[in-house]
Amino acid sequence: MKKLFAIALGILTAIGGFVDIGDLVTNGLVGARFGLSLVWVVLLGIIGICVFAEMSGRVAAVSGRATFDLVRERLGPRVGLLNLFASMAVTLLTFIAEIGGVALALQLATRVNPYLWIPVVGAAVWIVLWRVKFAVLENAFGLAGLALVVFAVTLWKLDPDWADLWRQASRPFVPHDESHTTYFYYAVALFGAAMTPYEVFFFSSGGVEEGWTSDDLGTMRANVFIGFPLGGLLSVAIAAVAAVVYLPQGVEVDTLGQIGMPVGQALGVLGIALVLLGFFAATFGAACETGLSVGYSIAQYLGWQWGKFVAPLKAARFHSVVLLSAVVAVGVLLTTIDPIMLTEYSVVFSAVALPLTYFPILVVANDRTYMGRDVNGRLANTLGTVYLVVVLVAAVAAIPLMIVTKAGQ
Amino acid sequence: MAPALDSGAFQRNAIHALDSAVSDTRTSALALQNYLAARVPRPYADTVVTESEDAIGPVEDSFGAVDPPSPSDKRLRDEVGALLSDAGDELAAARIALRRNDPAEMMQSVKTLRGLAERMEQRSEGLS
Repeated sequence: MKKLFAIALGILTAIGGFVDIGDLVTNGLVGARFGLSLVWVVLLGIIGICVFAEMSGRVAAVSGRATFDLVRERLGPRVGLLNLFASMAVTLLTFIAEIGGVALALQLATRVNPYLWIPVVGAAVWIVLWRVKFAVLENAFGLAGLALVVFAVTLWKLDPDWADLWRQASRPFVPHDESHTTYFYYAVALFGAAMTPYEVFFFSSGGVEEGWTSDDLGTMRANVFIGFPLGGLLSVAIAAVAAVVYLPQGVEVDTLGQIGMPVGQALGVLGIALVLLGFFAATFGAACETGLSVGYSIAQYLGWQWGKFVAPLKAARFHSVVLLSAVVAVGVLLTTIDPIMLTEYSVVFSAVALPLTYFPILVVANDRTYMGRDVNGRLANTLGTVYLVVVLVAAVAAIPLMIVTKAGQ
Repeated sequence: MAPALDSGAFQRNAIHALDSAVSDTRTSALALQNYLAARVPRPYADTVVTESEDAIGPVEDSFGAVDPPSPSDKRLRDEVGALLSDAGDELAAARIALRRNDPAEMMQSVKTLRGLAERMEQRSEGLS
């Protein structure tokens, strides 16, 4: 019974914790401009993140060590450093965007300028990362993030033309007023948002935090193979709601307020309350995950004591990195940079960093020294290799597409 | 001030500016409508309307900063500039009505914003 509860809780938190500011913004924007014609990218990204999250979770459960720890040992300090630089830069950018996202969610609830909220949010994230237990942090925000299910309810209440939505989703097309380059620019952005590097680092480090062993492989796989796809469906629901409400009106979605407004239209003030709770939980939870991931990656690479499973005093350098990241994030946001624009860039740069993140995981998951009999099987290797090709194509195409389309204009 | 390369480039600028303005005015109209129907709280609607108003300023500025390459483009510049200016003024009026919590003014704003969006959309389609 206890195990069943653990599996159910893991799945629910995986669903609620799947969506972050990148998913919210990119899916809303893409749904309003392209309808569901890019939903295939979300599905591609969900399968990809499942493949590599399972691999990194298995590595953590079997070896008792997190990804960066092994990447440096297995591939040497130079490759490890490249991996660290690429992943950490993107994760830090995502961390900044998430803190901005929390401030925007609070602005919607209070009308107080987000730049006044930013220092408060930065301090709150740091205090939570310093004081709150890992399991509490993961479960509380993951469960609260389930409030975003309200997008699926909204879609049903809007009573859309389901046949038309299915047609858009099942037969990808480039809308007549959009160019192919813009279409593929947003395809790369959606892919980057779904496969953000921090998700696998947080997942594997979280496994070590929670003391996973080989006995936990079943629970871990249930989280990944049930929780992640259901979380991905929330992303699709966000895009579908934007497609139903905004696409026919020619409205371009580029604010968090626009993304949530159809929920109010369909479900009233209660719906808005839930969507605000969902926005807050998704962005605050992801801010915690990315903040921790920055600390994890640096501490694991440099061989420092890390994690929340030890007292902060014993992992002082790890906590110092987390604190410094929060200070940097607040500082960057207070330059009055637009958090939504930052998010749009972060998902594209995330696509650029994907090969450097996922290739080392595939190598480590194939090493019998660490993995023993739980080394990658044929299916994991086939999918992993196919996805490496896909992420390589996305990484190479990302910057040229960004330049050609002037960042999707 | 920077001159447009040719009439085609200037018209594309105009279409882009009009489409952005259509988006901002319709978003605000939707927010006001939802507020009037008690479907969204005031801080939420206020944030959405204010963001739309903030977004239209740069659209107006960047369109106005491009010199029209021919006399017919000058007429287009004046026409589109006037539409963008009207949209900016109406978004400001919508924001004021919302903050004063004046339902009659808000209803009037919804009507005006919808009408403006319609005109701008038709002009954009005419240029496409």
